[in-house]
Amino acid sequence: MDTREKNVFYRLLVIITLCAAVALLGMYAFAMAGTENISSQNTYRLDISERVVRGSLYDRDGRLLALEVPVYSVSLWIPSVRNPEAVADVASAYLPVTREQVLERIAQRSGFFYLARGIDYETGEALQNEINQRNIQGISLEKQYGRSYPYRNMAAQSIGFTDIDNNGAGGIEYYYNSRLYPLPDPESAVTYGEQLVLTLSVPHQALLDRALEDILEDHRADGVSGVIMDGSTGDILAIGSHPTFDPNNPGISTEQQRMNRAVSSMYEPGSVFKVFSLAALIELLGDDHPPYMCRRTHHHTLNDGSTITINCTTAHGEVSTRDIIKYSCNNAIAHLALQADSQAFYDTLISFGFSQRTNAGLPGEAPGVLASPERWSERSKPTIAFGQESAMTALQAAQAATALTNRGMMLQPHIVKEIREFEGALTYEREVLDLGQVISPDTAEEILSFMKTAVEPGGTANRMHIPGVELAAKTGTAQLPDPEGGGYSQTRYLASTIAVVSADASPLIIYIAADYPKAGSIYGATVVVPAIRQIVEGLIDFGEVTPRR
Amino acid sequence: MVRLTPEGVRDQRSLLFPLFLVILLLTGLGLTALYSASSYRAGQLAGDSFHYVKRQMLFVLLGVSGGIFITLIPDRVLRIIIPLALGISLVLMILTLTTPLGEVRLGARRWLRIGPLSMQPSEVVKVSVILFLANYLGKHDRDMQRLSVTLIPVGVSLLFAALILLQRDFSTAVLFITVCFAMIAVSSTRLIYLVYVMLITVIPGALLLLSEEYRFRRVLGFLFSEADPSGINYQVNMSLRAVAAGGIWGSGFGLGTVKYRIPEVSSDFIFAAYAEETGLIGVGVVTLLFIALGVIGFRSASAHRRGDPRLFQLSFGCTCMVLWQALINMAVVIGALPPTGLPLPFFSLGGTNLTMVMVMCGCIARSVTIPAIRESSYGELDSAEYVLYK
Repeated sequence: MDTREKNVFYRLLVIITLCAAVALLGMYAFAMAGTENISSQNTYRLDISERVVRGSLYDRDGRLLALEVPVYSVSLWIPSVRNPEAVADVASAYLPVTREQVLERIAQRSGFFYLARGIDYETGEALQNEINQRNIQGISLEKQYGRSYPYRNMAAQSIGFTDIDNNGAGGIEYYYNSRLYPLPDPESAVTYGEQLVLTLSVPHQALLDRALEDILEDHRADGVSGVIMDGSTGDILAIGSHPTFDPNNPGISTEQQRMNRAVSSMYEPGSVFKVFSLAALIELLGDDHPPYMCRRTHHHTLNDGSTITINCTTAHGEVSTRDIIKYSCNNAIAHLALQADSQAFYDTLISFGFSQRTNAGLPGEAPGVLASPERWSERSKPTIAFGQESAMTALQAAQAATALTNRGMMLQPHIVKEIREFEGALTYEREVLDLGQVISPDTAEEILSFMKTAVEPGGTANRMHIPGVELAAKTGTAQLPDPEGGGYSQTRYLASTIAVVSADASPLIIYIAADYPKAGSIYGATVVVPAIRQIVEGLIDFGEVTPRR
Repeated sequence: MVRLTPEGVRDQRSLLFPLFLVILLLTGLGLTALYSASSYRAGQLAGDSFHYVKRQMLFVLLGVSGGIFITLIPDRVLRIIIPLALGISLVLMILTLTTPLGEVRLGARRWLRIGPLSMQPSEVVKVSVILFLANYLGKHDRDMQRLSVTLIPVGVSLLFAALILLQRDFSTAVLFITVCFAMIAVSSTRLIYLVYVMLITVIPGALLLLSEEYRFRRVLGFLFSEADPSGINYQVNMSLRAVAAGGIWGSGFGLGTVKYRIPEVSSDFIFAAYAEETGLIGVGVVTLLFIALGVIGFRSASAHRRGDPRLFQLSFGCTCMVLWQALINMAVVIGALPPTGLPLPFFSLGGTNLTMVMVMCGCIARSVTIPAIRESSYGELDSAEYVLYK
């Protein structure tokens, strides 16, 4: 190739390069003008309004149950890490990570990652100081806002918790997330979520939690749940599920701990259900029946001619209608149920709210089970009457009991009392809501009086008898299904009790269920009744219940 | 010894001051832009907003020393240095790839760390291979028509390009091989040889492009920029926003806000921050400075075209390397090319790159300071130089 040609190629390269530089300037001007319509202001707004303050949660008396606190996110930018050893030392000293974990992550990953998030303010400040003093590079702290629950595990499953991005991840925090933590308002710099005043009451909750905790430990139950409800409003004053967890640190909790047994577990109610079935039967058949002679084991003849054998714990002798509750006689109530119309019996039980969610405002509610009469066998009616072949939740039991405390009119249970804007304006207030006349006022009164006899000496719940305090109760001990196969287990029981305390202001419904107590005692009367007594004594101490002399 | 009359010599030393001025201005603007782009992060991470600028200034000093060294050393010293530099580059590259000294950052094994020092050997490779090619192509200017003579520089270029590729630095490898081939192409070789070589290498190259998902996605993101606004094109969209926000006059040094949203703002996308803050005016100034650098480099190269093919190649290669790298980086920032990992000379954070850019400027300065001989005098240059320096 001759030199001339080579010169042409060389010149071409030079000219192209220089022209490209000039062309680039032209293209720059073009890019500058062309992107002008992508107004950069649109993106600024998003930046500014990214700050959303999650609304607080209060108990009914204004005690803070959940609030926003400053927390630190600690991140590592690996390209800036000069001394991995020093980084690992300070990180492991202040954060929930080990030295080895940090070193391993520095070695294995590149770029940016979070060492820890949601680190409390004091720890974060201390870490920042140490980093500054030792001039450690690569670690940086970012101040954010996270959730704090001052009462720790109190009603933890119902209140819920938030995830790392402060979104509700359980309980009320999840159910009301869009109100507590709205999308950022583009018009304002900070968006505030609404504040929820719950129906919960910290003193009541504390009493319930202590009682549940005691049952869990003393009787080695798998789980315990309980509800305290205001019998004249349907307000849930306390709702508990144990084992429980600390929502400040949900990461270390187990699924068992996060499960809200009071609304998510459904189980055969056992004898507690007699309160509602007897109420239904009195509505249908009246209360004037000849006493039933209980000889412990009876063979009841069914409509199709077959027989069913029903056992009581002991031979109760002559059992009047009133004594069915006092002695918890299976045979007497089965005998009564066999005389009732199936559909009418079923309809009354359904109107007590069984087999339907209460929609109290808690997520994860189980609806319960009560089959309709066309799916019943001949033995269904008598066994449903004493609490088999159906399933309910603790919250459903408390809801159904409002019909007893509220002159036959059942009430809608509530967990949220008020919703207020950040500035305080009321946007929602729960109304006491009747769910219909389930039974007549007389029947309600009568059932309560029957339940009072159970607390008297000789009754199943006599262990909660406190002189001068008006108490009504019904205990229950249900066989749990055998996990190994079909049928009922001979060792696994559910001990439960429903009680109504005539507190000074309004009647309180207390319901507690203990799942599979393993410490010897299995009965509602021995496992749960002393715990309810403990709660009532606490209420007396708090001045909620004044014993009459 | 050849005696040269003043008529046979073109003294280009008048270009030295403009070259010095261009380098000074680019370095000054670069450090200013780096401060603006890195101060926030430096303050956050190191507690000193000047952290990165101070580091970069150290490398300015190192680079200037290297540049002055390469400008002034006698030719025979340079000829000893060249094989040495090439060998050291090879060793550094292999050390990076095969020993624990090689450091993986952002998914690529491109850094070599020895104690507190870390460097990017591929930057050193750029300079040492240009020096080698310039020396070889100049020395063999007469024999380049022979395939066997052409194959040696082609082979060396491909070897180093392959090593850079192994470090997963596709864009540097492409720029590097393009500069090498351009140098070989403007020598007296037959262009058809290069066509053969390119055919043999382009096919595996295309396969490589498709072998890495991120590379393929970047090309896709380039072709369909609206499809993935938050993904791979996020940086480009943000830098376009910065360009738009800058307008004609810019928002003023340190006053940019879009820059905070660009992840690699102190390295690959520093030009976006600079554009936002200085506007079209500042961008025009930098572009003109780079054009001026190109004009000086190419002019001094042309002057040596006949008299000293080695200086011709050296100046040409270095000018192409610096200029093309700058143009590609700027084109990426305005969305005219897909995102690459190429830094902007004088601006981007990165010590090795800055040092080597300075050394390459030193090479250009070398070809400016040595008077050009109009007529070819292969083989007798040493003595000619000797006479001139006397």
